[in-house]
Amino acid sequence: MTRYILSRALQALLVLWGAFTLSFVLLQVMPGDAVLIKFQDPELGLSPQQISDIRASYGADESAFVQYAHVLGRTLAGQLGYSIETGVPVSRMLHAAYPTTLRLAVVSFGGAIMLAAGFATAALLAPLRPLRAALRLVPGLASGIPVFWLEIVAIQLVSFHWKLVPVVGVSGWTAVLLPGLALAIPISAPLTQVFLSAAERVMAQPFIDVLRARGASPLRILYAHVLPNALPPTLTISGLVFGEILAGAVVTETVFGLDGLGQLAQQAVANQDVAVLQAIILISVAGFVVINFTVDALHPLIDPRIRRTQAGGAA
Amino acid sequence: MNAASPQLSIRDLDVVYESRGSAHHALKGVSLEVRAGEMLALVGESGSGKSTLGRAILGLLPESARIQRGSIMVGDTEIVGLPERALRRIRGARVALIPQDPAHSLDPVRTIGAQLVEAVHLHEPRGNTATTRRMLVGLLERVGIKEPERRLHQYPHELSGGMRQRVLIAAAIAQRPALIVADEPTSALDVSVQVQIMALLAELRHEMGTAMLFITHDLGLASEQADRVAVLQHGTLCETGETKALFANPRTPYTRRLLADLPLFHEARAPRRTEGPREDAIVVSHLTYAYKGAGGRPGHKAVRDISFNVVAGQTHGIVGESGSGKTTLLRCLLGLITPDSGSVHILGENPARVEGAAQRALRRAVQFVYQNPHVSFDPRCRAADILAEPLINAGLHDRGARTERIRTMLERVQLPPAVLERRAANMSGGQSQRLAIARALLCDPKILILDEVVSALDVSVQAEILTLLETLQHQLNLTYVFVSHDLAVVRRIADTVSIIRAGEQVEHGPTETVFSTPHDDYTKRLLAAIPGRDLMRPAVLA
Ligand SMILES: Nc1ncnc2c1ncn2[C@@H]1O[C@H](COP(=O)(O)OP(=O)(O)OP(=O)(O)O)[C@@H](O)[C@H]1O
Ligand SMILES: [Mg+2]
Repeated sequence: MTRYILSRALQALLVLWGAFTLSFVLLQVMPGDAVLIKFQDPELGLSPQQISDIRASYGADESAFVQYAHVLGRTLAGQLGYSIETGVPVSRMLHAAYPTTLRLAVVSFGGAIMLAAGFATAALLAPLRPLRAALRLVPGLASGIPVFWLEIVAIQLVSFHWKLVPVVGVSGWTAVLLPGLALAIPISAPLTQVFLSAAERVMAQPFIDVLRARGASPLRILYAHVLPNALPPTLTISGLVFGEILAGAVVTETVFGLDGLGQLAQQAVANQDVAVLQAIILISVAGFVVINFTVDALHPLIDPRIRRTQAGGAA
Repeated sequence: MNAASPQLSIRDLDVVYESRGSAHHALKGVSLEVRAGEMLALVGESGSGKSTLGRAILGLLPESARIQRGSIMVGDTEIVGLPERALRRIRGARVALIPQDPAHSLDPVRTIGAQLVEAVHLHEPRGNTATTRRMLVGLLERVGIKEPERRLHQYPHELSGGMRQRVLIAAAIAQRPALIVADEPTSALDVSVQVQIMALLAELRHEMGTAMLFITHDLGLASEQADRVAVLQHGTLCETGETKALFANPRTPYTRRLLADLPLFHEARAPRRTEGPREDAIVVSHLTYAYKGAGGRPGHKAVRDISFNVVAGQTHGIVGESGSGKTTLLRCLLGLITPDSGSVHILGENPARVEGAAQRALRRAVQFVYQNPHVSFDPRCRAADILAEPLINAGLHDRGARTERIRTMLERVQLPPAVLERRAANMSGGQSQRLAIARALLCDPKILILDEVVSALDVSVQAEILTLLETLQHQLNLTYVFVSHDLAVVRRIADTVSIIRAGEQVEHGPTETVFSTPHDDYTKRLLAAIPGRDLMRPAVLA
């Protein structure tokens, strides 16, 4: 078991390093140069000599390799550097931005799970076969709706028209409620699809008939037996869905005007603020790795058959 | 309740499966009764409607099925037309099911204890878990499970097939139902386990006075266990009667044919003389193979010190229960694994050593036919493609010549040319097994290794395939290695036989000798466990 965890941790470090290197290379080849863009502005009245001093202080004239070594060393020491745009330490910017995104992720993921559960129950237990077949098509369609469109409709209807949830001048959990729920809809689609197909495979197994023959109700069979059996593939996909939440956060925070990591990323791209972008990429990848590790660690808790082979493998 | 009163009585039952406009009558005017303490065996070929009847009694027909007519009374309750809620109170409490396949009939992710407690509490909603568990310990002991307390904490995959079936029986009798429907309860179990489970069911039936509908395709088993037998053919009940009378004097031609097709009715194969010099096609001597254990430690010996030889043109039967090492032995014969000690010679060559052209020739000369052709064929492939593949691999690129060869081969295995256009998924069990044999024969092999090739088939289809194999052997001078758990089948087809138990060859010799004068205790027990061995006699049926 310890060997398994160690190898997984090593894998995670490799992934992080790879992401770091890749993002460094990609950001290097971006056209333009953030220092030039910012300080060439004639209104600042800087002389070419001063500009080149500033460039030297950011290390912008070094060879790419030296820069890479420098940034890697600094990052390993826990230093994320300074924003080229504002001069503020990147860590402080992240600190201010992450709570909003975290709340958004929690609301949208929680909402997606509830939506998927409710919908799957309806799609599996609806009384008539044509009705079930029709419901089965909905998640595929829902995953095709553009997030921004959904969110604009949500603001218009829920907030402005029905006045159910305010979106202006709010903070904390209230601020992410509507955007989170709007984002939950496209997020829940792949969860529902994977769960439904896993559940249908489970329901075709003989033990389901045996349970019915003992007098168990369909709802009981679904929650006490189909759900735990269909959970492993759903759990795997929910680890992957995290990436969609991050991508959705960029759009959502922009549409709703929330100051989160997504907004920060969008601005950093616009300003070519390399240090900020790289930090955001790193924490996104770290989040992804941690979540998928957790998901894998949960599998043996759900499925006793895996538990035994892993225990056996470690022996 | 009066012992003679019927616990189940079915009148004029018609069940129809409807799909996209077409209707299939699965049951037509079926009437039968089962009394308290009685076992009625429902026999018939695959697709005759046995399971449909069982499901109808439990109110568990699929959505596509409709009861057109008739009545099903369980005790004094009419099942037909009963609302779902009321049915749920009856299922498990008054009618219970013992399913066919214990391996897949328990929820794999919940403990035995949790599942049994659930089974009880479905009908005793205010039940106390601790009390129920105590009751369950007694119940598990009653169905012959040792260390019941420990078992309650285990998961299904930690139990053997026989133990799982005992757990399922415990769940079925927990509420003391008046009627038990057992749909092929032992067909997935080894013969010796089968005997124990059937004995347990008989005991419980007498003890609790339960009526039992025993669904089986095994006439031998039915003849031994049941008080009465009902024969179903294409959804119609063609004959019902006391077991002894029915087997001694079958009234309808269908029942007579079913009985005649039983391998038990055929005489053991007499030792045959082969013309010319006796030539050994296969020689196995002192074969031992162990799978490597964890960390490269020498593992469990899968087969130990096995020796036999097969004369060219004859059949060697290999009998053993699941896990006895049959598959390992076959893999050694095919040269897929190299024995740790001892040797294998096939047509004079060592399959694990040959290389190059000699290896390719040997691979063609030894063909393998698998238990379940549905697994080895891609179900979407047409029969024509399945048959063309080995010829293309062998370098026969001329289309006309290929078609010609395939046509002759279809004639050999008695398949109509029309099947060439069918997909594997749409063929019956017998047809796809014929197709598998045709495919194996396309390479002009000398030896066929037949792994449980008739185990999944109905008796009549089984009889046809066995006859076909005998004819082909005669025509093409083929040598067979015939693996089966079914002694009756092996007795019919094999010249010599090896009985394997836990990797050891406990008995070996000419089939007639082994069956008439067995030496080993295990062989004796296996022979005693052949269902319906009382019926074993030469075929003298009018
Ligand atoms: N869900 C279904 N939809 C349509 N037809 C069905 C369905 N289930 C069974 N049938 C058909 O009804 C007939 C009876 O099937 P049933 O399963 O009762 O046979 P069986 O005697 O139990 O066979 P086996 O010995 O193979 O278990 C068959 O022709 C089968 O193809
Ligand atoms: Mg059946």
